[in-house]
Amino acid sequence: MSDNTLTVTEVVNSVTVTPITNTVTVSEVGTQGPAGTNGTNGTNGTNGTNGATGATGATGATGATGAQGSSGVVTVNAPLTNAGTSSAANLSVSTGSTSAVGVLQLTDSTSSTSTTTAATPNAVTTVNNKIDTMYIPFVSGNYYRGVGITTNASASAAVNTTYYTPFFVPQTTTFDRIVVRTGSTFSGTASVRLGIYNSSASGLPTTVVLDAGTVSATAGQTAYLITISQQLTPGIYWLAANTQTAATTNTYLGVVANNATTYTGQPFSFFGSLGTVQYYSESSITGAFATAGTLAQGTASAGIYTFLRAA
Amino acid sequence: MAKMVTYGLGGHDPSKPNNNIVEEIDLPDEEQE
Repeated sequence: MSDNTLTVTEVVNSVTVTPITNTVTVSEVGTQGPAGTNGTNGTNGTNGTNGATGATGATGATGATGAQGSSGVVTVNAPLTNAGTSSAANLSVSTGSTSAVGVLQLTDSTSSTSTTTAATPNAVTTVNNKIDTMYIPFVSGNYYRGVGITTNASASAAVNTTYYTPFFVPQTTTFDRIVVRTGSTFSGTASVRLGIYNSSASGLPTTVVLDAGTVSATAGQTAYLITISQQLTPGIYWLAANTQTAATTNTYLGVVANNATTYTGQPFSFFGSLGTVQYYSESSITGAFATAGTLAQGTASAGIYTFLRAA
Repeated sequence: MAKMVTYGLGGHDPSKPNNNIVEEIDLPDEEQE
């Protein structure tokens, strides 16, 4: 060991100094050294649960105006016409005629011959009222029949044969009785079915309007009535009677051959074998009335008159 | 003597009183045919 060198040997709580040269006296232990550096950080803990949902935010601002659309195009069809353009229309309606649809001027006239105006309901009513005055109206409580001026007091009727006599209704009328009358020579007992038929476009009996049921005729010169409640609108009808059980002498108030008719729709002959048709008949009819079938023209003094009473 | 025999709705009906005859009237004078 050289001079000026101090060797220190650390002993617990003591220092041993060995003097070599130039003795050194250590009077006390030195001060404690500075603290050491901090250790490394620990790992992070696990995340906490999510918080509650926040409030809705404020409404956003209005968007910008869209671009202008394209121009419209008008298409017109008759009776409309367009005096303008397809994009700037000037529409009107054509006047109608018998060959083209269109608007018509209304008129109350009942004498105009115009083909470009139209009748008002008022004009139609005027005409209807005029027509009504051309016919004697049915009078409540009176009895009516269709054809012939005179009657045959004892016209023979064939069993199971329906006799149709025409009946013109000029005004809507309700009838409350349908009637057949036995002839002056009638004897025995007969069952007679009574009813009303519609008239076809060709002027013949067709479908049933009313099957009123039957009467049991037991005496001559007796009117047998059935209560009905039947409204008939204006038109031609056919009153029907059928003896479904014939009497011993099966005669009724009926038709006189070639008697003048009040129904102008009936065929008429001035000469020859074809007389004035007074009625139509249909044979082999039993039971309730049904749509008319094969018809025969009746011109002889036969057949049965059926009557209606106006309510 | 002429008569008028009136049936009710439906006409002759043996199941109803008086065969459904609702009125019978004797007529003193027969009209001339």
